Parts: sequence; C-alpha cells; structure tokens
Amino acid sequence: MSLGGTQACSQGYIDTIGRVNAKGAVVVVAAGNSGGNAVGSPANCPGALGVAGLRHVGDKVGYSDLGPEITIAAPAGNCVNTGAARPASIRS
Amino acid sequence: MVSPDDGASGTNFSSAGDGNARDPDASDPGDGLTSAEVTSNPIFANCSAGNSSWHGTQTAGLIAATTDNSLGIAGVGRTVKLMPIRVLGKCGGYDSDIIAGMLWAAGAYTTDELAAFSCPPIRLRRASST
Repeated sequence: MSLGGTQACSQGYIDTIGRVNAKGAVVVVAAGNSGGNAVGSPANCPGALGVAGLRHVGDKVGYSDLGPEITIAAPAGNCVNTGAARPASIRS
Repeated sequence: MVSPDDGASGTNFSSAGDGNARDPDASDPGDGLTSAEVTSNPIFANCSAGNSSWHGTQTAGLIAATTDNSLGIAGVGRTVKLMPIRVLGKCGGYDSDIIAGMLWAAGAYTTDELAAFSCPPIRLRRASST
C-alpha cells in the first residue's frame, strides 16, 4: 500500500494486520515521503512490512521516512536523469 | 498472493471521486480537485486544488506494467499480477475504507462485517504527498 498518515498505529490496524497475516498474506506499506520524518501509519504497525526508498547510490533518498519500523528498502527516486523529458521521481 | 478473487478483477471500496459507494469497479477516476470543490466541500478544506496525481495507477505500473511491448515503462515484476483495490480518492480517504480493503484482499472480510465496520474517520493522504 502506498498510503499513510502521521498518527501512531491504531488498534484497528493492529487487529487488521493480524487477521491478514493469519490468512498467510503480508502487508507491505510505504514508510512515507515526508522528508525523513517518523514512519507513517500503517507502515509503523506491528506485523506490517515497512518500505523505505533508496537513491541511485544506495543510501536513503531524502524524502523517504525512516525509523525502526522499516523492514526493507528499495530503489526509489533521485536517479540521474538529465534529459528534458526526465521522469518525475518515483515515490513509494 | 492469497486472493479471494481472480487477479483480473478488483473491488472499489472508496466512495470518493466516482459518485458511488463500494462496488466492483476499481478504476482510478483521479484525485484532482478544483478550486470550487475545495471551497464548497468542508472535507476538502485541508487539501489544495490541483490535477490528479494518478498515484495508484503510477504505482501499479511500477509494480506490474507489461514488459517488452514498446509501451511506457516496464514493471519491476515481469510475472506479477495485481488485484486493484481502490481505497483513496480526492483529498485522501479513511482508515475504515483502507482496513476494509486490506481484509477483503486477504479474504478475511465477511459480508456481515461490511455493514458493521466502523473506525475513527482519520483522514489519510497518499504517500506521494509531501
């Protein structure tokens, strides 16, 4: 899921993720793109797989949020595109 | 992926943007807002007028766009299938819709729950918003 808010993880999300996990499914959620702030919700929930964004050289892209709730990181924006038709940054 | 349904079909759990409630059409009508909408509807008070981000469609393409067809981008997953479930619309959406979509996706949602579901109406924004 590429969505989130700035609040703490609610009991509703905790219960929901538990039920989804019990069905054998994984909940993958974007950490958020608020410039390195705390991981958003529901990415910050127990059982959720929070994803941060990396730039081309392998460290965290500036806009990706960061925190102990992050499980994995994957290529995001900030790639080296210099042409006039360069694509917009890829945000999670 | 554990799915209760064919990967080719989805369920639209959002009432925003397409003029109706939850239905089987997960098409993305966009989340663009006009100035008139922002000023006339209190639920858009904290959002700005602008064109649609097409964030869901963009993200779906990054994950699973058809490859080797000379059209647009190639998705990162060559054999990935998506089950589109739209839970956000203009100015974001609600935890209750997101949770319902999560449960539906995993097959953990019962018909009885559909009517009884109730969560605090915390407004969320898509992750691309900064």
